[in-house]
Amino acid sequence: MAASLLTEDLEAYSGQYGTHGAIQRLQFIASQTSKANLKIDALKLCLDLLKRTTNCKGYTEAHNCLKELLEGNDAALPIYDQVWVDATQKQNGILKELYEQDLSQARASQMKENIRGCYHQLTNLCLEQGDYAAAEKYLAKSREFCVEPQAVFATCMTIIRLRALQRQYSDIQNFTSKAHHTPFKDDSSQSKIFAAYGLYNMATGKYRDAATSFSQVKPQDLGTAFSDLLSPQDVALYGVLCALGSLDRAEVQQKLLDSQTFRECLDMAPQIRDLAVDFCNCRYAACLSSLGKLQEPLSLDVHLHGQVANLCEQIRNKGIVQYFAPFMSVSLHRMAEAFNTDVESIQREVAKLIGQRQLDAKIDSHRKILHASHADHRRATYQNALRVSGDFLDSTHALILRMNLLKHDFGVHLVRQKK
Amino acid sequence: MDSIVHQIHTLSTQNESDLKKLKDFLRHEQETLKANASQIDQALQALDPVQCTLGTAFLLQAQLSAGFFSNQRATFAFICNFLKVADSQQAKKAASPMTAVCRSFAQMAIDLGQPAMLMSLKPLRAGLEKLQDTPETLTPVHAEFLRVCLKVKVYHIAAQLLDQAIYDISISTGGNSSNSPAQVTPQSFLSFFYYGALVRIGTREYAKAIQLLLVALTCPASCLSAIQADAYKKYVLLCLKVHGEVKPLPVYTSHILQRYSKSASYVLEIAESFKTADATALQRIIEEKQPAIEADQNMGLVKQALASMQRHKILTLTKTYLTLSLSEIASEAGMPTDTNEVEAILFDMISEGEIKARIDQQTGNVSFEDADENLDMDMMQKLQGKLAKIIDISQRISWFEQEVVTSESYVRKTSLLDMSAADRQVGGAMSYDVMDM
Repeated sequence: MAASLLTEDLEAYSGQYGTHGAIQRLQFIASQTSKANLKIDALKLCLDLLKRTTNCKGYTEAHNCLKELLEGNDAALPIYDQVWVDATQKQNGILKELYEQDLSQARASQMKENIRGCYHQLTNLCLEQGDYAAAEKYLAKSREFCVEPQAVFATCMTIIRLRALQRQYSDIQNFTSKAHHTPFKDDSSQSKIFAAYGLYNMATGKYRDAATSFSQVKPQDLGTAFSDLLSPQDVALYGVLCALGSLDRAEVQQKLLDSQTFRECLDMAPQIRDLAVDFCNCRYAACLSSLGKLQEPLSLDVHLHGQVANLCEQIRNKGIVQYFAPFMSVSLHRMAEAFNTDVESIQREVAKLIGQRQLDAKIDSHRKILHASHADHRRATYQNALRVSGDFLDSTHALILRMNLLKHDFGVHLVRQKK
Repeated sequence: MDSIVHQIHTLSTQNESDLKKLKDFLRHEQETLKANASQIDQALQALDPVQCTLGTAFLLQAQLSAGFFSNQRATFAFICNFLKVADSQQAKKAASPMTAVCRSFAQMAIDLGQPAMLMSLKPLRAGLEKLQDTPETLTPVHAEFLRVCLKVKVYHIAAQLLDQAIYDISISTGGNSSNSPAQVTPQSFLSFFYYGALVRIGTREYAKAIQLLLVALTCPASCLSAIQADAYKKYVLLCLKVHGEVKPLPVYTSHILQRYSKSASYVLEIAESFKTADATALQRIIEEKQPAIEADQNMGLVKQALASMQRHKILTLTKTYLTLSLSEIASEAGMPTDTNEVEAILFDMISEGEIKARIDQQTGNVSFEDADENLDMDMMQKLQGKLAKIIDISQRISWFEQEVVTSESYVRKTSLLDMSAADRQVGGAMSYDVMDM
C-alpha cells in the first residue's frame, strides 16, 4: 500500500498481499518507476516470490531484466537457479498430465462434482505457473459443472481474481453481478462483492459508485482469497480517494468517517484517514499538500495507476468549488493561500472551472477578486425560448420540404442512361 | 410555317382540349420548327403573346435551341416583354418550353453583360411566378434567377425571393419523361439552395445561409454531388464563423454525405485547429492549403473564420471575467503582446453589440458587463413573431396529417390491421395503435 511505499519498504508493502498479487504489484512498480534503486529492489523481491510459485517463465524474465539493470555488477546479481527451473518445469509437465488423466476419468464417470474438481486442479496449476489466460480457460469450462451456489460463487470470485491480475477490468462487473445473484451468501461474501464492484467502478472512472461500494466493505471479511487483489489498506485508500473526488463534504463524513466498518479500514491507514479528515474540516491546504506528496507513490499502484492524475485533479476542483460555496466574493490572494499556490495559477484554475460550468462565478482580474454571479433566470428563460423556437422552426421547415422530396422520390441519384 | 401559325391562332382559346391539341401538335412539329428557325422571327410578330402564350413559348424554344437570331438584342427585348405579359394559365401548360426559354434567356442575359442582366431580372421573376402553382413551389427557374442575381451582385433582389419559404418542388405530373426541362432536377434543386446560401453570405445573414446549405446537404442522395461537396465546405467554414464550432449534420443526412464529411479535407483541419483555438496552427494550414482553398474560392470565408476565432475566444472570456487587462486578453486570445490589435477587435465587437464591455485606456483594463436588453417590449415582439410562425407551421403539419389519414392506402392498411387485430383478440393484447404511427 502507498503508506508503506512512502517509506520505500517494499517488503512490508508486498507482504500485505497474496503471492500472485505481490508479484503483480512488484512487476508493475519495476516497469513504471524511473528510480533505478527501486526498480532493482522490486525485481529482487519479485524473484524471491516467484520462486515460491512454479512460474518458470516469469522467473527467467525477471532475472533477465535484473541482469540488464545490474550490468557489470555481477556481485549484486542473484544466482540464476537453473536446477530449480528444470525441476519445476518437469514437475509442471508431470502434474499437468496427471490432472488431465484425472479429468478424463471423471468425465467417464460423469460425476459433475468430480469433473469440476479436476478442472479446478488444472486451474490452480496454471495459476501457479502464472499462465492466467489458460487458467481462465479451464475455469470457464468448470463453470458448466457447478451445482452448488457456493461453487458458483467461488468460481466467480476466482474469475474476478484472474481478471484483476491481468488488469482487465471490464468483465469484472459481469461476474460480480453473477456472484451477487447467487443465493445463500454470508456477510463475508457480500464484502467481497462490494470490493469487486468498487474495483471495477474505480477502474472505469465511476468514482461515486466506487466510493459507495468501498465504504461497505468489512476489512476482516476479505480474507485470503482477496489478498491478491486488495488489502484492507487499499480499500481505505481507494475508498477515500474516490469519495473525495466525487462526494461532497457531508457525504464523505457520513459515508466514510462515521461508518463503523469503514473506520476500521481507515485506522489501518492513518495517513489516508488524516487526508479525509482534513478535507472534511476544510483544511484544503494540508489535505492537498499531503495528496501532492502521495501522488507519485500512488501512481505506482497497479489498480490506481490510470486514475491518479484524474482523481487528484477532481479532488482539487472539488475543494475549490466547496471552498467558494459560502462566499459572495473572495480575494484570490486568500484563495491561493488556502490552496497552496500563487495567484496566477489559482486564477487559471478558477477560470477553467468556470468554463466547465462547475463554478458559477466571475473573476475580477484587476482587483483579483472572485465574485459569485447571480444568474439572471428571467433573461436565460427568454433566450432559451427564443433559441428553442428558432431551432424548431428551422428543423420543421427542413423536414416538411424533405417529406415532399421523398414523396416525389427525389434525390441525388446516378442517372441511368436510357439509350 | 404559315400553317403552324394558323393552327396556333385557331387553337389558342380558353378551351382545355384545344390547348392540349395545340400542345401535342407543336411538340410534334418541333423538328420542323427548328429547321425553319430563320422564319420564326417573322412568325412571332404575327402572334399575340398574351393570347398565344403557349404557341409563342414553343416557337421561342425552337429558335433559342437552334441558336439562330437575326438580331439578338431584339429577341432579348421580345422575351423580356413576353415573360412579363404571358398568360399564366397557358404558361403552366407549356411549362417545359417556358422553362427552356427562361434558361436560355438567363444565359443570354449573362452573355450580354451587366445592363442586360439587370434588365432580365424582372422578366425572369415574372416568368417564375407564372410557372409556380403556389409561391412555395420550387421551379428550375429559381436557380437561374439566383444565378443572374449573383452575377450582377444584386443580393437584395435575390433575398426577396429567398424570403419566401420553399416547401415543395414542381414535378410535372403528366406522362412527361424525367428529362423534361420543367422538372426540378437534383442539380437545379441543389443549385438553388447553394446559390441562395451565397446570396445570404453576400448580405451577411450567415445563420440563414447555414440553413440553406443544410437543405442542400440533407437532400436524399445515393451518390455525392459536386454541389453538395462544395456546400459542405462552406457549411463548415460558416459554422466556425458563426458558432465557433461545427454543428453535427442532422441524423437524416444521407450516409454518402456523412461519409464525405469525415473524409480528409482542409476544412476538417481548420475545424480541428478551432477546437484547440490555435491561431498559429490555423494560419499555417491556410498557407499550406492555399491553392486548394483558392480553387474552391473559399479564401474570403476562411479569412473571416480566422478573424472570428479570436472573437469567440473573447466572447467566452466575458462569461468568465468581470475585468481583465488588455494584455491578458491578448495572451488568452492567442495574439501575444499586441494590445492595440486586441483593442481594435474589442472596439469593433462592442460597437457591433456582440459584447457589452468598457475599455479603460488609462489603466489598460477592460470591464465586461452583463448584456442589458429591453426584456419586455422587444422580447415580447420577438416571441410573438416566433409564435405566429410556429402556429403557421403546425397548421401545415396538421394538413399533412389529414392528407395522410384520409388517403386511400392508409385507410386500407389500417383497416387490414383492425381486422387482423380482431382475429387475434382471443390471443391477448394486440397493440395496433402503436402501428398506426
